[in-house]
Amino acid sequence: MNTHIFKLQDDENIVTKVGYHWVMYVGSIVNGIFLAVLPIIIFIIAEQYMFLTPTPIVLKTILLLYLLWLIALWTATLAQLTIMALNQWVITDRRIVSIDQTGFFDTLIASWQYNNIIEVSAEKKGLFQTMLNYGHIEIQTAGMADEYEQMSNVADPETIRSLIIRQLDDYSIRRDEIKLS
Amino acid sequence: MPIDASFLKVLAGVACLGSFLFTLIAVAVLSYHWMRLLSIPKALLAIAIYLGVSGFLLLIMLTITLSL
Repeated sequence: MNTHIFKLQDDENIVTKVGYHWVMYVGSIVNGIFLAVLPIIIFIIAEQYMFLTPTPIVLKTILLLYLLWLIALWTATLAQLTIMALNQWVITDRRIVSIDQTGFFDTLIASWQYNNIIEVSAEKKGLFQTMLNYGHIEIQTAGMADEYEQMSNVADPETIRSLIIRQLDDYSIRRDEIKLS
Repeated sequence: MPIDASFLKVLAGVACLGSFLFTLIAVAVLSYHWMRLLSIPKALLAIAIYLGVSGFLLLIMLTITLSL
């Protein structure tokens, strides 16, 4: 997976990786299919209702343009799915690492140690998110000004929230044990 | 205004060549990320599907261009 772009610390273990819910991928594919079909619909409407009768050479040109559109769309849809899959939060037993892929060669990596995290919240909004069990995870980090970091449209946000809280508890127990020893 | 078929053929040829180069660049970039994201067999399958579909579309484009 996409973890070699950051290095794990000594004895650090990955607990889980959080990515987009499958509905987001389906949404991208449906969007791609819609954009692929749209020119056909426009062509049929133009032919039927505007009484346009293209000559064979115009028809071939239109078909060529449509094929160009399809190649671009096919590539763009796959590119979008790839970028979506590259975006993730990696939850380890020491911190949360956010891998934010904004473009093919633009990656922003941020990490938050558990001792800086003061609140974790999960949100599911609306019918779709409740039915399909996806939503947002937000963490609040301590600092000069409180900062909020959010991962949107993740699968099962409540379970992920519980997992992060368990990691927070384990982390503070380990830290107390080290202090005592 | 009548469409000049030979000029159109040149334009279509340029479009075919452009699409071919675009596909080559895209497959290089996508493969790089797929190799990171997926296991090797799955990445190879994804590359094969991408090239298969793109190649099919390019082939139709080439056929139409030659028939202009």
